[in-house]
Amino acid sequence: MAAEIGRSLLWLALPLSLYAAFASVWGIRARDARWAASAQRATNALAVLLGVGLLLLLVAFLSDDFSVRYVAQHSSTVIPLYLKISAIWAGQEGSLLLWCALQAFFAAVATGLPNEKARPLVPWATVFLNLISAFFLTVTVLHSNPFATLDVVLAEGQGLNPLLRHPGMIFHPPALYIGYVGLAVPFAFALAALVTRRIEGWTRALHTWMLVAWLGLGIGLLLGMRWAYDVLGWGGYWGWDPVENAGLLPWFTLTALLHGAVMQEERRGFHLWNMLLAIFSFVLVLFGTFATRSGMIASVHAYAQSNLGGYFLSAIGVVLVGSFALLISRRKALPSEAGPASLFSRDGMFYLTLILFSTLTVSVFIGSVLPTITEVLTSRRFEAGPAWFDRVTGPQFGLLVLILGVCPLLGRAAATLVRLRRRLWLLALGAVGAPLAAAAFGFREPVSLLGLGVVGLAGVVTVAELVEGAITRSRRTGEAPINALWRLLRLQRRTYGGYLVHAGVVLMAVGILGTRLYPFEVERTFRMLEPVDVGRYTLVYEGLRQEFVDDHVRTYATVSVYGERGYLVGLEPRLDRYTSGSQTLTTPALRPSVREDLYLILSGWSDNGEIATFKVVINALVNFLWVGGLVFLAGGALALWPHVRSRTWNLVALVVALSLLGGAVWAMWGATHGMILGGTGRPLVGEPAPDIRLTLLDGSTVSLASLKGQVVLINFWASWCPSCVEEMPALQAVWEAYEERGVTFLGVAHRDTQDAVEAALRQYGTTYPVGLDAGERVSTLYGITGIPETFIIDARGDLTLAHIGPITAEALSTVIDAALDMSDQ
Amino acid sequence: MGWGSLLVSFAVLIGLMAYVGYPLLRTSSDPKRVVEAWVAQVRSERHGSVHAVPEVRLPVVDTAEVADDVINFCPGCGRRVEPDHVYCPKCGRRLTKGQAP
Repeated sequence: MAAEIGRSLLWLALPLSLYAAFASVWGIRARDARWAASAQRATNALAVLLGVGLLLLLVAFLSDDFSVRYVAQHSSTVIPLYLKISAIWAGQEGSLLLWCALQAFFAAVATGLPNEKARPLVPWATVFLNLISAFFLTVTVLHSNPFATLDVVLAEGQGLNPLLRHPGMIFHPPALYIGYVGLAVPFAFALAALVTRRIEGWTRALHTWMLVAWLGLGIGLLLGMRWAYDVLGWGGYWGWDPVENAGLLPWFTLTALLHGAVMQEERRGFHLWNMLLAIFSFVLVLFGTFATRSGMIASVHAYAQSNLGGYFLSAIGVVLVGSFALLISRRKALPSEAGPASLFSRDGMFYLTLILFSTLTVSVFIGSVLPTITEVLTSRRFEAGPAWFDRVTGPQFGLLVLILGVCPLLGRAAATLVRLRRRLWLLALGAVGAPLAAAAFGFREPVSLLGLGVVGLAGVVTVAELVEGAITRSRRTGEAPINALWRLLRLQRRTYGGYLVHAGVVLMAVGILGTRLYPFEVERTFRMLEPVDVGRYTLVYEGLRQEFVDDHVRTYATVSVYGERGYLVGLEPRLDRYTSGSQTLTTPALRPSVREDLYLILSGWSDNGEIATFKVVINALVNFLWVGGLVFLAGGALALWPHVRSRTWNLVALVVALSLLGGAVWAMWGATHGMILGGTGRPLVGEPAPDIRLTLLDGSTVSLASLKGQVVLINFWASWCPSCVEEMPALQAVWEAYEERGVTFLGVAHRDTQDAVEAALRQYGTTYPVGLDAGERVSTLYGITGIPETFIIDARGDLTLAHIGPITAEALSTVIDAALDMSDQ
Repeated sequence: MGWGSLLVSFAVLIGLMAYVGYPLLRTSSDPKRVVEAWVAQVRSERHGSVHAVPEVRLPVVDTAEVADDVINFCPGCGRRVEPDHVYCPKCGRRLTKGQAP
């Protein structure tokens, strides 16, 4: 029933969108406000209709209606609720419906609640927005209807692709869609401005929408980066995958547009630039959807083979030809532009910024389509790998950061040398200080030092800009500087939001330099409990454990991490094997620190878990990237903050914004990410064993220091542990054999009572000294994770064996013999 | 397709048509025609109505709706001004809202 109604709603929506476009044109031609009102109502109704459609799909998912093909393909009864909800956009059909619904919603809001400047553009914008809606609806209704049903009713769905089973799935796609779809609004209003020849004011009127789309894309991209880092387990966050690029390209042009809009608002020209950027941003959105849905590329993001490529390709053609025809017909309405007088002025720097963003867009675009084009033309595929992208875009990004640093120095007017000279020491401080600090911490790659010099310069200037603004204001108004800064952040939201974004970019640049120029990745095979040195860390693999969950088996590997100063943390990377389709998914474990993240992936194991293979990645400075990302988003949110006087509204919005930020911080650094917290770590084999004092059952006290010169065996056990008492006869036998040869045994009863221990000792005839571990001090020192565990310490006091689980008499004898031989030498 | 779904869809269709078509049922709010009707009405009152002009009731015009079509002129110099102008671009006189021709 829900599916049937959903289907008919979609069929009603398509003619409705066409009607809205038609009614608006008719209203303009006949100068009849009635038709304009009808078009507005149709636009609103479309948003409601598609919103209900989305709800019906949600109902189908929540009620496990597997008669709907889309639900059967992307859900099952066992996946959790949040995944059922986010499964709406897990596949092509549903994501297209979400796209349509967002498009209709944005169209209704943009045309229904325009600001004063946008009002004259509304009739034509209504036409264009509804035509865009009609296009996406055509594709959805005719070729990828989410409400299509199956002839046979299934009892169980196929479940969600394991890669998508992650909380990131809730936010990453919708954020990107807000960005993509939001871009249609500036595009439609830009065209409307061209048609009505009101080219001067459109950027100002559309500022909010540009920021919404920009922030949506930015959040989506950052979330995608972090999701890839947390789950995909290749150790990185950006692989220059064509679909990542598809999201990045419109973000580049949109960032350029935001800068161009500032210039246009200050009446400094850039009209043609801004028109072109608005058009190309939208074309790149279409290109992105084309790339993901045409089967042209193979990637994590690509949808299954689909035949929508033709639609999107022709849409790109229509948009390009139509927009340029319109642009040419209105060329007289575009003010002529002389270009900036000098490159070293604010205008010149903005000009350079736009050019750099354009060349970046072109570079990344070429890299993304190169494999396909070379394959078609020369039948040999040229793969533009990450190295290619890094080489091509790296210098351009560097130049952008440099401009970001230099631009505020030039001030609003043309450059004045006096102003420059006064701040020259600041430049020097940043440009020299940052590389020096990095070099002191061991980062000495020349290119990275150069990059850090640029970054340091930009960072110092950006911070100086914030501080200077606050100081100037506090001098003028007599407020405390911190209050003045707060006031400035509140009053000049766009300017200071922009500065915050710049500060975020600077921080991110540090992270990108670190991860790209100091790559460290090795794949090593570990034998259980044998320490392996990797970089500055020593890793000890301690074993596997498995859990059986609904439709997959989770295998956790425990690895203890030791640094220069001893035990750091336990890590537990995970490998999930899905029973259906035999798909595997690795979840890395990571230990973050300011300097670097230690990132561990379980690749495989053999010999029943005796041997395991891990990929170890060390990502230098990567946390600067994430912190920078958050600062960046906070700046964007500040710039977007609406001008509302109501105190309650501002307070509520502030609380929401801060809790979102807090949530992001928690997700990145608060969650465990496979760390085992609270562990103390076993002493490493070959290192001095920690000293212990143990009170024996007879009341006497023994310490390891007093046993120096003897081989000591420490056995952690408990009377309530079956496998511990099972090995007691073996221990007793070995004890009897070696008692006279300078070997001491110590039994440490873990979480036990004196009576129970004494009873067990009597029952098994144990005669070596045993003590209760009061307060678990000894267990903590030896970092045991279970019982039984056995440690052997040689005559010099160094650990020679750490064993987890029951041990045999033969194995014990071998180790003790070796230890005795060594002390005899 | 079941009868229930068919009925619901039909109801949605009717509701849509009513909602979207409603503005078209109102009397024309074309400013030109309104002015013509008004002139005719005034004329007929002044000249004692030789040719009986049917009385036209002035429709209430939503100014927001027709703001686009209203052409404004500066009361100072007579230059054409746009609705979003606060000062006249030619003579600099401050413009206030609601200066319909």
